[in-house]
Amino acid sequence: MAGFAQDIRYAVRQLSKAPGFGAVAIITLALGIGANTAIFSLLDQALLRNLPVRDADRLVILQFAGSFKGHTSSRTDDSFHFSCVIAILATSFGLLATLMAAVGLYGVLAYSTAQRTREIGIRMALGAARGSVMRMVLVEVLWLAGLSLAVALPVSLLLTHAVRSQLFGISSGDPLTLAVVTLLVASVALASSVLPARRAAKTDPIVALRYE
Amino acid sequence: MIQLKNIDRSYKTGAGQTWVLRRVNLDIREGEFITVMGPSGAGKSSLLNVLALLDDQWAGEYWLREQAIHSLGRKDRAELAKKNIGMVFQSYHLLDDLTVQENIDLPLSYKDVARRQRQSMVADALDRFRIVAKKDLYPSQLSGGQQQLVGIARAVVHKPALLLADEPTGNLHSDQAKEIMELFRELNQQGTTIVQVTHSETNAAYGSRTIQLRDGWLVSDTANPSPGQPAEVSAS
Repeated sequence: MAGFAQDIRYAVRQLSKAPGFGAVAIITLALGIGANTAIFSLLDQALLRNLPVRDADRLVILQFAGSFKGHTSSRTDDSFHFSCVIAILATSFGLLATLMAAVGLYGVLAYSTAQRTREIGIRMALGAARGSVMRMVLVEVLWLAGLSLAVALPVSLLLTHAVRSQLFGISSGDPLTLAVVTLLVASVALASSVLPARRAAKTDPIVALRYE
Repeated sequence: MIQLKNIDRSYKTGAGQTWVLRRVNLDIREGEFITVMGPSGAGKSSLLNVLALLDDQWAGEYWLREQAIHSLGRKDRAELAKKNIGMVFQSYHLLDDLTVQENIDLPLSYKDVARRQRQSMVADALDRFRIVAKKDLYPSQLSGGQQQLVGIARAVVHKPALLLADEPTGNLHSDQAKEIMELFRELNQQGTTIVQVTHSETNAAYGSRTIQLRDGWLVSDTANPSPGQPAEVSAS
């Protein structure tokens, strides 16, 4: 526990050392979380949840079309399918964006840990086990993800509010949606950091100590 | 305390091998202050890395306090090293983002020592090396001599039985170097076994025994008139 607290303290210090990088990473992650929350709300509403009405299959959508003098048209299945298509498309974009964010995060972490080769070598020469080194890298990522989530909450509410016209039977601040997206982003952040963390843990202290 | 028997260390280079240590036999008794000397590329730092258990690619037998290091796994070796060995580097190798106090505390944090005990040990080390006033400074705010002092404090905070120093005064001017060597002498008098690598005859004079390496061979040892003649040295 004490080691974990120490890693958090060190992670904060590392982020403060490079505030620009930290800010960009946090904002990027927060925007990703916010956008994915809005997209998942659409998906949830269109495909996953039942409409909160009785006999939902008898529901029709009335739309005004043509001149003001009373032309109307009703479409049922077509509009609903259209909503599904929009939701699926949005989800696909969301997944693609998440994948790109994961790759980007991996690249940044790989670079960052490579820059810290000397430091990792010193730690290992002083007794750090491989597990400690991995934990140090993972804690930094978790700290970054945590900060991003704190920023993402208002962003998520804003973006889901913007698509509220497409939502029915689900609030723009749906807690389940937020929870699912939070879990997704945390998983992606961790998955992106595993390889760089493992590579860091395999540092040869003798080689690293010669690294200048 | 330490016995090295036929220690070999080589690196694969192309189709062949480059030997950095060849059949090194060395006995180190508790309380000795040994100086390792030799030209560049003789294998001095490689020998130190073997002693420090940082390197595990050597062949031969290594006994540390009657423990057969050569038959231990990586994890057990690391545990023994944490407990018994402290290391001082030429370039100090302090962590720039940690204060003096945190740098000294670092090896203790990897030893699962209780927090209160760690604080007490660090406070003792700061007091012993007279750097209490500097405990909240970062390495970049210290002079070279002060940084090396912190490096030494970090190496001995857990009271290791063996202190290894790789050219500890290499980056210092002569006054600072003298201060560091006096400190080593004091530590040795208090019971710490010290092995230092140095090019300096002045520094070597602080030790009680000098060994010379050349091309990976141990060619002379002031405590042992016949350390073993090297085999034919092949031209590379």
